[in-house]
Amino acid sequence: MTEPRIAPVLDFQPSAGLSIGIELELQVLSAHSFNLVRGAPDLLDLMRRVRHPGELKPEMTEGMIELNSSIHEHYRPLLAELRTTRDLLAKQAGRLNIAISGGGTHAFHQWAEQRIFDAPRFRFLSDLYGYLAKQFTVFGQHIHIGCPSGDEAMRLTHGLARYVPHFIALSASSPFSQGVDTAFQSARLNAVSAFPLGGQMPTVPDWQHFNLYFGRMYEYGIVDSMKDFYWDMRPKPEYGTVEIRVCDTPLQVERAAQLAAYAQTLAFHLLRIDKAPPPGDIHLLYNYNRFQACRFGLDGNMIDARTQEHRSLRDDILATLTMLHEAAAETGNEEPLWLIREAVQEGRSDADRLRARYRESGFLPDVVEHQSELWMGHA
Amino acid sequence: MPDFSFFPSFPLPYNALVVFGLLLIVGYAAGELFSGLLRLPRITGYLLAGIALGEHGFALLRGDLFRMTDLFLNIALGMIIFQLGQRFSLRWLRRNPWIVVTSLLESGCAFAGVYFALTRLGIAEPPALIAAAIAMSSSPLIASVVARDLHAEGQVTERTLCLVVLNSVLAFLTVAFMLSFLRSDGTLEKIYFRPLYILLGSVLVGLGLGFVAAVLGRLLKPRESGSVILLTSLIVIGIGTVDSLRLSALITLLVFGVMIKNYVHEFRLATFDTGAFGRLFVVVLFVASGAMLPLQWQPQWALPVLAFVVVRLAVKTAAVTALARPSGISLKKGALLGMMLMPLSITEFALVRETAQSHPEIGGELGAIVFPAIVLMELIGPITSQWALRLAHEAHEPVREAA
Repeated sequence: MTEPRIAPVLDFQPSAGLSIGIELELQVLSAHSFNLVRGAPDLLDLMRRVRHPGELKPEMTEGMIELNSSIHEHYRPLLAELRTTRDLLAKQAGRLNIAISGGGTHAFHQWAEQRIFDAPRFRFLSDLYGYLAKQFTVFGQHIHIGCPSGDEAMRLTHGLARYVPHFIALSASSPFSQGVDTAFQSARLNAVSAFPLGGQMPTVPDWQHFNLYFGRMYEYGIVDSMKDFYWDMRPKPEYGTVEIRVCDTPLQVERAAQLAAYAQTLAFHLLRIDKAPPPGDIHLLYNYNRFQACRFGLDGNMIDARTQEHRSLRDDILATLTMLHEAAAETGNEEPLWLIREAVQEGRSDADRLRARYRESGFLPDVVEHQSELWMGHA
Repeated sequence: MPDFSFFPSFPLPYNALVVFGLLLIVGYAAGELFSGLLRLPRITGYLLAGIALGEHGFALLRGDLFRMTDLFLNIALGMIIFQLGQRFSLRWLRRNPWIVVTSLLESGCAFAGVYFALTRLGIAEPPALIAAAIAMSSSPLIASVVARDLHAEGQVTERTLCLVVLNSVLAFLTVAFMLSFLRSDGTLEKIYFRPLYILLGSVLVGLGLGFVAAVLGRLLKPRESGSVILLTSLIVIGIGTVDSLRLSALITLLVFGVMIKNYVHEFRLATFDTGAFGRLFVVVLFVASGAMLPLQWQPQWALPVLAFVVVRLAVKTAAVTALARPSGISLKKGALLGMMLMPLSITEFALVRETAQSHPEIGGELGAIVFPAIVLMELIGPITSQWALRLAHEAHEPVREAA
């Protein structure tokens, strides 16, 4: 008989209410072929010699790096920091004949060619998930929102569930994968969905119940830590945050900062203004709405659990932006929300931009080159 | 009695095609044996197979067959140089001028170092100058074939492929300059005319090829396989033209590659992937190189040969390592990059031959120093290059499962 596993109790480290921070997974490209290139070690080595805000980390494959911002109370300093880091990164990458880009997938990379970064956890993942781990060569943006307590983090996670399709549609930038047009606006999320602990976090009323749930999963031996959950949104107790994980890495850092501001404003609204719990049916509709957002982006259909109304994601986002009027004023996020409104009305997502470029040139490496120019600020 | 005269008479006469096929099989098998069992570079296998089949071995590779392999050899050389040109990024050099500085320093130091060492050992000035100029260059063939074989990616790989292009061109021009210097009666016009003719002529032919490619591209709108056919054709035409005009195939095809990459939109990002057929050319190239290796060895020249090899390697490595940090890589990667620059090219062999023909008085001494060095480098170079890429963690080989 095996020893019973005693689950650790997860302590939620309180953090300043509604602070924001983001993580961006970025593509490391050859400036020659615009395929992913194993350049992360050289680039990170070089960036260690340069003073820069935030943090840069290696990722699962050497064709990827992760950019972590510092924690911010407001949108403007976050944006300024992201621009600074981006410029430094672009400059140093240029010295190595490397290009950097956003976007949720690489357009024509064949995953079979990708080497798994040489570290025990990554090796473990690749042994466990096989080809799924390699398909995990996708690039997302994670948004962290600070919460003063675990209970509030649970409320926020459930409250935000209704808005998950918004984040998917607003960030969608992965129309191509493995050399073909996937017809999706965000093909990236399909790769993430294949993991057994992906999707939606189970409904638990408060932090104590979350700990009970985690304890059971731990005792079953299904998970060892919070890292084993690949949910669309999950609490991150050691940071004291709720983490939104459904976004593709946008093509430009400006959009990444806007999405963080949108999340912050929504959080303010949900925790300080409209504290009513979400209707129960939200969970019935979750996967439907999520699929619509992945597949059709802003044109997708969205069903509102409260009113049972069908409308396009575009209209739903515009209505939400109007609803957030007060919260935007309180958080100082009028400008980013106005920029989002403008982009939604104009109706061109990052994925649409990439498809338009492909129609022009008919050549995926050209699309990726364009993508890197957008990110590095040359276009 | 029926007439059996339609039967061939035995023994069968030497048939070049049959031997050519055998040569391919032997070369390929040796390559696989070397990479599979010994984890050594495939091309070392091809070279040794070539030596075994060449005049110093079974002497199967001769006459007709040499002419046949010569065609393959030229196409293979041309394709590899063209691909290096396609990768050669002027934009990169603008963003990181330290790479240009590195190139000038490492080839300049190699020239000065080898010249100094050889004259110290009592070698006459003319052969010492030419040998020093040859010492500047590194083999573009070995570098790119070893890197491709290992699926290598990273700064050591990237910079090797850039530096070998730069130092080969520098070396070629320096040799041309030295030769005209030796040839002329000392008037300035003659000194400058030949290298200028070669440089400008080769660049013009390269540009011309790029122009033709642009026109063909617009007319025929080739898809992927089409562009490989068109580009290969233009490469072959380029080699022929350069041969007739007595220009440099190296410079011409590099310029052509750069043109295609930067200015000819139809082919701009098409990776010129020659696939399995390209590998066949590489087998022929290195088997033929092995057969052609001048395996002559005069013990009395051991010291200058050693000086040439050791000083060249030491000076190149020191120069590249010294500039590693400012150019944006670690000291370790700098040293490994130096190691990657070690292989000398078989193409230098032709340069020495040419020198020997036009200047018999220095040809003997020059050959006695440079030939053994080339042989040594062809045999050791691929192996050390492979080590360097593995040590740099840039090689990407299929993982062998632990038992």
